[in-house]
Order: sequence, then structure tokens, then C-alpha cells
Amino acid sequence: MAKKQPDKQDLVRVSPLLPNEGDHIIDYARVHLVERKALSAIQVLSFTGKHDKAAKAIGKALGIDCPIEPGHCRSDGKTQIFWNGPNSWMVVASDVECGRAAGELFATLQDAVSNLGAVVDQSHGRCVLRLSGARAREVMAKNTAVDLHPRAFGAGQCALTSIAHMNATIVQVDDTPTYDLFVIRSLARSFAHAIEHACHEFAEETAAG
Amino acid sequence: MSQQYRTGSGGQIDRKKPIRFTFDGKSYSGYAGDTLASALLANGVHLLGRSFKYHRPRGIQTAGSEEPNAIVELREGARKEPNTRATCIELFDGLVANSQNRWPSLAFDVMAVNNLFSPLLSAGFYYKTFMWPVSFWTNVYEHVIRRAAGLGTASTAADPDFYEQCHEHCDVLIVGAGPTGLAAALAAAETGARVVLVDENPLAGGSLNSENHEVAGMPGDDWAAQVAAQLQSMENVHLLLRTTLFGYYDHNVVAAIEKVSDHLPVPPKGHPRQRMWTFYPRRVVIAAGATERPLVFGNNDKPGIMLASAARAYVNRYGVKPGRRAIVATNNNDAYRTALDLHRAGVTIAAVVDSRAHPEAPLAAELAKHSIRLITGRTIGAAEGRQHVTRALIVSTQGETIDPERIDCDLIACSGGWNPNVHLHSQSGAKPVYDDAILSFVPGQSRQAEVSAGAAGGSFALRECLKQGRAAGIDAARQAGFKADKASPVIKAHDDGAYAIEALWISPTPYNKPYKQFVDQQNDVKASDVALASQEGYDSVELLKRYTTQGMATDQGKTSNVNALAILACQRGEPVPQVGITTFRPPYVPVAMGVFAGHTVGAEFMPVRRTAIHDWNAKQGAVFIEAGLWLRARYYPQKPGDTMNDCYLREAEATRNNVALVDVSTLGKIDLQGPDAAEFLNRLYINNWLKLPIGKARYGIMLREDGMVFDDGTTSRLGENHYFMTTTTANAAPVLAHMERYHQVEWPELDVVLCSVTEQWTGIAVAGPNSRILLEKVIDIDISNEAFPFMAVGDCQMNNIPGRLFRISFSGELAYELNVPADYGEQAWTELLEAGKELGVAVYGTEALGTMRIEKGHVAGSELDGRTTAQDLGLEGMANREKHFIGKQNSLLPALLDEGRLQVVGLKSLEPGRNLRIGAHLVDPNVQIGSVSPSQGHVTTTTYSPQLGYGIALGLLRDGRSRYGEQIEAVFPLDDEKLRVEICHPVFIDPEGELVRG
Repeated sequence: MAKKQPDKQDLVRVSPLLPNEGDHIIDYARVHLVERKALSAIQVLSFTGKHDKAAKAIGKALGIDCPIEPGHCRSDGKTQIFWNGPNSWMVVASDVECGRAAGELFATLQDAVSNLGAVVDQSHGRCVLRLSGARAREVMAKNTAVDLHPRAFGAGQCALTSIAHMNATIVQVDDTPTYDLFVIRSLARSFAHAIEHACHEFAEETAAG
Repeated sequence: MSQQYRTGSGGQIDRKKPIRFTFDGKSYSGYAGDTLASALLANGVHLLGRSFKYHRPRGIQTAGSEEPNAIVELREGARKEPNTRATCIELFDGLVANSQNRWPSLAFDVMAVNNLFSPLLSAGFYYKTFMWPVSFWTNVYEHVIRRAAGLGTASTAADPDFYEQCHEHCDVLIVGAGPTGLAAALAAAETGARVVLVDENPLAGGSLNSENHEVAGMPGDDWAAQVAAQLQSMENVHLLLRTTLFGYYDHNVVAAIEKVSDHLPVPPKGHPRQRMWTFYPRRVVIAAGATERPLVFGNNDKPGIMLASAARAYVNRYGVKPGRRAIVATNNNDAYRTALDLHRAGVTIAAVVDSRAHPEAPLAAELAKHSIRLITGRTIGAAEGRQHVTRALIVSTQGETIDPERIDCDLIACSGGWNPNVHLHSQSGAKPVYDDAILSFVPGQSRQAEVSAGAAGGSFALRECLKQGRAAGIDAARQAGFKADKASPVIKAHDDGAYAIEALWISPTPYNKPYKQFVDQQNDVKASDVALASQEGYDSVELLKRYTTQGMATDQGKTSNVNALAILACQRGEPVPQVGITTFRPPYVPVAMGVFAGHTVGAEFMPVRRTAIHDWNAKQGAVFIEAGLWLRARYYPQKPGDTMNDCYLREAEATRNNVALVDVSTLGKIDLQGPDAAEFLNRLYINNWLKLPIGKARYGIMLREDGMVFDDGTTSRLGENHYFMTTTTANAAPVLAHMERYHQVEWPELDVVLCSVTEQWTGIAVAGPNSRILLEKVIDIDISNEAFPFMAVGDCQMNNIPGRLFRISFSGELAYELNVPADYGEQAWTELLEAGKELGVAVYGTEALGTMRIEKGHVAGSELDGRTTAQDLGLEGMANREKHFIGKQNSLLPALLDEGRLQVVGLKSLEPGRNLRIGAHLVDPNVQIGSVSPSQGHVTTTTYSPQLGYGIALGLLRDGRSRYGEQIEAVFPLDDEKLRVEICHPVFIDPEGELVRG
């Protein structure tokens, strides 16, 4: 990137979802769907034979153990690192929440990883929806074949799979359950629509169920 | 009087909740808990429809999903649903149903004349009767047959409801919540296993709801309700009622349909009408029960004739007397309880007719106790009555009966024995085997992780069902890895007697008259059709099925298949097992197509990919075109009445003469990094990549292994070990997959990593002679021709937006492509438009893009059709034959280098005002349309060139490159069109490429 620092005042990240959709896409008593906006999503791909070293470098730079085993996610509550393939991780955080400038996480990782792997900015390429509530698991069951039963899948786990016929990543955040769902930007509206649709059955419920 | 056949008390109906409904325009009442069938029977209505072929009056044969006869059109308007089984329709207030396959009315049906012509409609009648003349088949016969042999009519309005799909994994899946299934579920659940229990009824209990059984010291239905409640309260159990398991697939995947809202007038808001479940169980326990089969006697299809078990279900579960004076006919022990239950409810039992000479003494004694007449060694030869049975003719099972006894009745409850429901077992790939003890098929060797228990396994006694269910539940849980030490104790039940049966597959007919003895009542297949098929040589089960249509109706022959097989065996003089059994296939019950589609219908048939500039495009009124899943702006109407031609000509001219923007975000973008990235590219592309300088882009061609061109695009070197590839929109995913495969499988030694960054970037092409002037206003780097020449690449800031600029051109004009992070895409686009206002900047869509690429002779998808080589495309000069690359070996095969191959050429229309047609064939101009002239090639893409002022095209033509200047005819026989064209070089304008370098 060019050296000139962007004037952050004028730069507004536009969500791929419809602009008039508020923060809460679905806000029912027992299921909620919100978009996690303006995230940094940095993909790290380790070079041949550098996987463990890259993991250590990332862990050291962010103060979070980088998951080596497939299907896992680590988080310090603000920054998530999830397994994204045999030689790949995705590091995700809200810059605002972390008090970082835009591009800072990318730069931090680039410094840390250096010649151990490639660091690729995907921040604008992903839409992230957070689905939570007592009914979240049932909503997910309508769109994905992944077994999300607590015995099979819990907080700290992730799955690269298909949701409503779209490639997506599921990261379980907590046992509410809360899921972060990652989909490519261009599919954001179709994806959100499918999840929304699956929530409507629970519209009339009260908190007590 | 309303509901004159309702018993005073008993049954699982709520007499405090009356429900109004309409059948064939007449209003009736029933109670909550009724089915449409039970409510109609309570009102004395037995005639529900007309049969498929002969239009014979038909009533209710069963009380379950196996029903062949009582099929009706449910609901009206857009929700109208034909071929719905009245025995499965839960009554709701305001329900409207109509009989089908009759005209003008159910009682007087003109087509019943078919009954008289039945000799013409025997087995295989389609093949015999409608042979001649051949041309009549589609024009006359098919039309008439379809109308005559209808099964109701579907609504043509759009379905107002939605359907959805759901997935669930479990340790043990239990099919059927009857005594066996409940016992299995309880036992499996107590081990802690994840249990799913499905049942097609709205109530758990299965047969317990229809019988007077006692389980665990309480009425069977109470026990079932109690166990169901217990199961429902367990966190590891999912009990799904109104859910029918209809398919057993490979890898132990099974599918079910849940009728979420079918029992309601309309689905509650946000709820689907039906939901399809896909289950992934470790073990399956099939506790699907058994289906009773009818007796095959003359006129056995008359309303008022039903299965013995159905009569019990109506009287016990629904509190309905299915008649006032009944005959119970049987060849086994089971039907005796029908006589006793009907008797207890106040139905007169005219006689129990047992075909066996010596039924078991206790059964006879029980009847005697209630003074019920028992006739042994005889059976019903035929029934009489017009639209309802009025009399039965009793014949001897041994030889001819001179003078059959006539017994008046309005109900015949018959039982020909029980068939275990082996459908799912068979669907799983296993082969059911014949069991002589019960004269039916039972599950054979399992092929998948399934076991049948209880009646589904051929054990009909209640105690045995409970015992087997429990054992199967424990066993399944154990095999799924759970310990069963806390499993529930054996459930006690009363002894409902052993099952015993003697074969009676077909009744002798009185006076040897040719009574119609129906086997498959839904498809109107008679015993005589089976015999005829056999005589004509169609005597294997598979042939019989197809020749007679036996078992091919929507009920899939649930009540009729075994009878048909046995009758065929009698014909062939062989035992039943010798004849074999057809394979059962999903779905077990009819499943609406809509539920398979789920919500992926209409606009949601496929997900849609939108670029960051989509909303701006939409606001401008752009007309979109689908490109894979993408929606791309095709052209931009500026005023009402603007046609596509108006728009693309204007947009192309603006680009050629001034400056215009196009959204190219959909191009595939792949990030490659690593010490061996250059080597990787060098093996992938046909041209050289080892010496591309940093900050430069290069056009590349990649081949498939077979030597055909796969894809093209530019790749830029961003850093020492960092490259950025673009692919065509269509091949973005296939190219990445191709690269991943080579990376992972063929060349693991190359240290390179790949990932798609298509989504990260918005791509905006700024094209036209004034593009530099426009960009200079907003870009922070020097983009003069010296500092930023053709094929230069560099990071930049556009106003305050970080981006990357490429000096590449698809239009052939001086052009740049700006990539910015997608969330800033619309802002970058509008800022460029703002900056270009005084220049008169325009926007263009894919149509103008296509026009300009044809003018420039750039090949694209229509030429890269998987059959063209680099040489065919005129790009062979790019290949470096000194190195290895994918497809090199095959591209050198003589057949790919031969003369006579189709080569890319340009084509000019020689007729003013006329354009070429895509797909038109290029033929010798001296040949007349209609005569045979070999195609020498075809037109791949066409446009009108605003620059040149005539129609131009690209085409693939035999030896085209040596034929420039020749004239040829482009013919389009579909529309009888032909056009004289001139063959030329494919680059129409600026052949030296001076504009892009200027």
C-alpha cells in the first residue's frame, strides 16, 4: 500500500448487507442475529515446513495460542484465530474493540510471520454474522449438516462447511450457543436471508420458551 | 342425524371439540382427533372416490398411510392437494375435501362405463389397444387416457407456503413409536445415547391406540402417552410425531418428512408446511410395524369392505362404528379381535368366516361366549351391492360351491394376514426373505447399521414386541458406544395370543362367475390381470409389476404386493420365495416435490453474488445479467424506451471517444506467495514467468492436461515472492481448484501458497482516451506513460482510499484497472464519477464490454469452449516450447496441429443493417438453404461495431486463418436466415495496439 495514511474521517466501510438493516437482523426472544461489522480478517498461510514456527510467531505476536489441530479456534475474547485449512489460519478482530487502527493487525501479523508464510488481508472479503440464543442450534440445523450438538461441537471449535448451499465457516464462540458465521462478501445477502428465514419459526416465542 | 355411527364413549377423540368440515360440498361434523376418514365414517359416508381405471365406487380400506382407495383432493385454491389419503388427514375446522376422478358427481360417474368395457382394459392394455395408428399416440390416445385415468388435479397457482430442510445426527434412530419403538427408545435413551424417535401419527403408541391392550398395568394408549411424555422430557431424546421416515440411503443416511402444519388450516406465521429431515444415525432400529393385507375375492373393492385392523382402529381409536352388521373374514387368528371389539361396541357380527378348517379352540370359544357365529373352512367368494356392500356370498375353500350362503351385511372386515414393513430394510440394500410361518417376507441379512424389531421383524405378539424393542434399543446404544447397565426393566403386557395363519391367496368364485377380484385397488389390477400377464410370459416379478402396473400407484402396493406375488406363484406353480420380491425404493410415502426443494425455489433457487457496486447499479436502473451466481450490470438505460442496442452503442462510443467505468469485480483473483511462486506460474502457464519484473503484469494462457485452452488472464508481480493472478469470472473457482490440485498432489516440492482474494477487492476498469486525465485527478502516483507504462502495476491512493492500479486493457483503449478494498468499492466508484463529471465520464456494462472485446479480437468464454487449442485461437506464439507446462505434451499431438481445425477468425457482415447470429453455421455461399452443406464452422459471438458501422463477429472456421478476404454464408436454419459475410483478421481495430500503449 502507498505510504500516505488514509484520512480515516472520510473512509467508511460499507457493509455488504442492505444498508437499512440495523445492527440486529433478528432479535427474537430466543434467537438473535447481528452482523459483526468492520472486522479485520487476516488469512495466514504457512510456507512448507514452517507451520509450527508460524503458529508460534502468531501466538507470540497476539498473545493467543495459535490452534494447530484442525477444526479449532482460540480467542482472548477480542481476537479470534481459527483453523482455516491444513496450512492456514484466519485471524479476526474488531479494530474498534481492540483499539487498533485499520491495517494494524495486518501489519502486526506481517511483521510476526515474515518469511514463515503469507499474510493476506481478507477483511473486506468476508461478511460475519453472529447467531446466538437458545434456538441458535435449531436455526443452524436447517442450513447445515454439521453436527452442532454440544457433545460433538462446542465453544472453541470451527468447521469449514456449507451453509444453505454456500461455502461458509462456523466458529462457536460460547455455549449459549453463539456462532460466528463467515461467508464471502458477495453472498452476504443471500446468506443472511437464509439464516433469517430459518429464524422466523421462533418469532413468537417468549424468553421462557 | 349427525355422526350417527359414533359410539357413545371411548376412543382418542375429544367429543367436547366438534369440528365442521365439507366433503364434496356437503357439510359434516367430526371431533378433534378424527381423521377425515373416521369423521366421514362417523357420518355414514363410505363412498369417497372412483377407481383409477374402471371408475368403480371406492371407500375406505385402511386406517393408515397404506390406504389405496380413499384418496381425495384436500383444500381448495392455491393449497389444493390431489391424491391425499383421507386416512392420514387430521381433521381441522373448515377443512374442505373433494372426491376425485369422477364426473359429473361421485354417485353418478359417466366414466364408470369403463367398468363394462373392462375386457379391453386388461393387463398391458396400453400396449395392445393403442398400437395403431402410431401418429394417434401423442395426438389422441395419450390425451384421452390421461383425462380418463386421472388421479385428481393439482392447483396451477403458486404454492403460498414454504418448505424447509433440517439435519440431525444421533446415536440411535428409531422408526415407529408403537410398542416396539417406545420400548426401544426408552431402553436406548436410558443409556444416555442421543435418540431420535419418529412416528407418522400425531400420537405415539402405534397399534396401542387402536387395540384394547394392557401394558404395564394400564391401558396401552395411556402407557404410550406416558412413555412419550417421559421421552420428551429427556434432553437426549428427540421425539418427532407426524414424521414419516421415507428413505434409507447409503452411509446410513435416512430421510423423513415432518408434516409440520398439514393438520392446520394454514401454517402458523414463520412455520413451514412440511419439513424434510436428513438424519445421520449410528444405528437404526426399524420398529415400523406391519401392514395387513386384504383377502382377494369377487368385488372386494366395494365401499364397506375394509381391513380387519382398520375396523378395530375406527371403533377403538376413533369411536366410530364402521357398520351396523359386520362379517369378519380371515385366514388367521388376528381378525378375531375385530369381531370382539366390534361386538363390544354394539356392531352386530353376522358371522366370523375363517378359511381354516380348524381354527384354534380358544378363539372359537371366545366367539361362542359372545354368541358370535363362526363359519370355518369357508370364505367370502364375492360381495354384492352397488355403491356399498349389502351381502356376502360364502363359499367353500375346497372346490366348487353349488349354492353359496348369502349373508346380509354393511361391513366386511377382512384379514389376509400381516406383512412386516420391510420397506426401509429393503431400501437399505438388504434383501427380505420369505417366512413360511407367517406367509410373508421378513427382514434378511442387514447391509447397513439397521435392525428390525417387533412386527416389522415378523413378531406380532405384543409381549414379544416390547421385549424385542427393548433388546434392540439396548443393543443399538451399545453398538453406538454406550453402556447399558441402567437400562429399563422388561415391560409387562397382557398376552394377546400367538399369531397363526393358513394360506388363502385367492377365493374361489361362486358359480365360477368372472367376478373382479382386486389385488391392487389403487391401480385397478385384478387377479385375472396377474394371471394374464403370467400366461403372456410376463411372469417374473419385475415384469409383472411393469406390465400390470401392480404396486406402481402412489401407495406402492403396500397392501397388495405380497398377494400379487403369491397369486403369481400359484400361476407358476412355484412356492412364493421362488418368485421373489421386487426391491422397495424411496419414498415410502408420497412426498411433495416442494419439500425436496426446500426454500431454494423462485428467486432463491440459487444464491446471488453481488459486487460492492451492485446497489449503485440498481439505483441507476441498470439491467443485470447472470454470470454464474453473479449479477453483473449489462447495460444502463438512460431514459424510458432505451433499448439494449441504444445503451451499449452509447456506452461503447463513450469509452472509445472519452472515458468510462465498468465494474470488473467479478474476475477471479488469486494471491500466490512463496519462494517458488514464479516456478509454479511457469509450469501453469504456456508462456514465460521467470523474468517478470516486480510492478509488472503479463497476460497468460493456461491449458488443460489435454492441450485445450483452460483460461486466460493477467498475473502481476507485486513483490519478490508475491504474485496476483486474475482469471475469467466463470473459471475463478475451477482455476483455483486446478492450482490447488497441482500444488498438493503433483508438485508438493514447490514452496508456494495460494488463496482466493476475489472478494477482498472491488475492480473498476477506467477505459478510454481520457482515462489518464480522469485518474490523474484522484490518484497519488505518477501515471504518465513514462512512469506507468502499459502493463505497469502499483499501489496507490485514490483520494483517501488505498488501492492498487494496473495498466491493463480489455477494451483496447488506453485503460487502467483500479482495485480497492470492497467496502470502499462504491465510494471509489462514485468519487471517480464525481471527478470525471467535467470530462463527461460514462459507465458501461457487459454488453458494451463484449462489443469492444470483439472489436479487439480478444477471445473469451465463447471461444474458450474447451475444444480450442492455443493454436486454434492464434495464441500459439505465446508458448515457450523450451519449458514444461501443463498440457504441453498433448498440445503437440498431431491431431491438434493438423490442418482442417477450426480457427478463430473475424467476420464482417456484408449486408448493411444486418448483424450475424450467435450459433450461425458457416457454409459454402453457393449452397441453398435446405440442401446439405457441411458446416465449416460457426459464429461464437457477434455485435454491431459502432466504430466500424457494420455487424462484426468472431467465429471458429476450418483453416480460417488462411482464408481472410474470402466470402462465406452464415446460416441460421432455425429462422431460415442467411447472411453473406467476409472472413477477416479477428482484430478489427487498432491491430498494432497503439492505443493501449499511448
